[in-house]
Amino acid sequence: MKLQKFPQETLLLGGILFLIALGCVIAILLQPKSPQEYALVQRRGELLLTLPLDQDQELRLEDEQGFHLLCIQEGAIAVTDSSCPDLLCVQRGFQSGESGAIICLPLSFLIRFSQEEFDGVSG
Amino acid sequence: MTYLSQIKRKNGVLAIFSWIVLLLSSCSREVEHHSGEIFAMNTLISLSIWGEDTGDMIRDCETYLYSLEDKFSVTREDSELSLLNAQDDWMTLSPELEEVLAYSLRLSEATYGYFDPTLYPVVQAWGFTTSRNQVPSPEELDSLLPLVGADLVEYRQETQEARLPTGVQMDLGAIAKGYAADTLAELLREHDISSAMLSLGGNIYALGEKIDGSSWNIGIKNPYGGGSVGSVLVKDKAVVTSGGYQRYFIHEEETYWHIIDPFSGYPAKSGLASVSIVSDSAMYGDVLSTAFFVMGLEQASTYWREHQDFEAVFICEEGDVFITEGLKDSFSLISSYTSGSLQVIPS
Repeated sequence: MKLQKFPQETLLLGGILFLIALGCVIAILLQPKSPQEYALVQRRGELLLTLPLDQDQELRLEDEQGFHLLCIQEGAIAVTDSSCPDLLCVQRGFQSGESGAIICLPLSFLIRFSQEEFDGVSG
Repeated sequence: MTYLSQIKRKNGVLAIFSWIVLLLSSCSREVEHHSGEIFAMNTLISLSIWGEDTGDMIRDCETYLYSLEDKFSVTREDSELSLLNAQDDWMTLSPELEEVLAYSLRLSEATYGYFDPTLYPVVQAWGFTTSRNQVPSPEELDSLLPLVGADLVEYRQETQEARLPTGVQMDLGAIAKGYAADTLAELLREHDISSAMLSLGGNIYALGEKIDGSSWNIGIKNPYGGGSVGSVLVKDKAVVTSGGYQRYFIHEEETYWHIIDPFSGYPAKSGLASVSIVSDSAMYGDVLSTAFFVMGLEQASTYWREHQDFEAVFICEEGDVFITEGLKDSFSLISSYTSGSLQVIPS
């Protein structure tokens, strides 16, 4: 008798857990997607950082070849100071969007952009 | 409750959890792919290739792109195009330069001169090829406009030769990236790669379909800020965009962008902020997006109705978005875009 009752209790508990899990999954899937944009910071081909552009911040990246001072503000990123000789990366100012990469050739430093919801962005 | 029943209850719950975990994890399959980035042809190029043994392909693609830069660069003095620009004698062209030159002349005629590959003297006067932007005087532009016109280029197909009269100079920047995307895609197809995402400075070629068989979701950049206005689902198509926001400078509170009207010599002001073309060929899209940006929505819509071998997304300066009818099931505005409405151009 007990053995017959046991699967029903298990199934009931499992069913409740399943419904909770299913509810969580549906809630996540139905969440409105915002065009979250990220700056991908690379140095000498290596991805150093992935920075969300909706979080204002300043940070300094430095290695034996030089430094870059980055500033994220109002959904865009800029190299505000650098030890590179031509400072073209600084002159680019604030950039966002996939076509607005910031490139520092002397220090092999690159910032590009990505929107995770798309496979690519034309523009 | 017996010990045995407790064990069985735990096992039952565990089994259900395992089943849920398996169900969820089966939705996200790990896909092996190779990618690379390269700065060539004056832009950042990203290549993502899905398949087996594609490591060498990325390197081959990079080598190929550098070889194209040697031919098409207008700012490098030793490029093949610069050599053609620098002389007024007949010059034998490489197959690549000949193909792009011939195509540009043909499409210039097809677009009634709104796309013109001989604008380089005017573009130089505005300083768009250097970092020294300036507003040329009307007199200077008047003196340069007689040097503009695809009909000035002399081309002999049978001998693969071309000649530019003194002062006439070609700039294939508005078409070379499209050519690079098309030929890269062809190179990958020859190596049995059927799924790849090529981005040449925002000039997209979505080769084949995604590895799971679904369409590529390509965003169309918002010309007035970060993010995109919407996206289009494509398989095996190029998506190419031209917009004034891509390169511009501000002088005395006036904005001047790099897309020049070949008839006036001034930056094109047609009421469009950007034009995106969805087509089989990125080179075709490159030409059309530039030509349409200059000619404006009405004339571009007429061109589309007459040809019907591409689709287009037009973003107007006021923010309204117009799409050609063939995109009505594959294009969607993102929910946060509220600057304008979406309208379909009927055929």
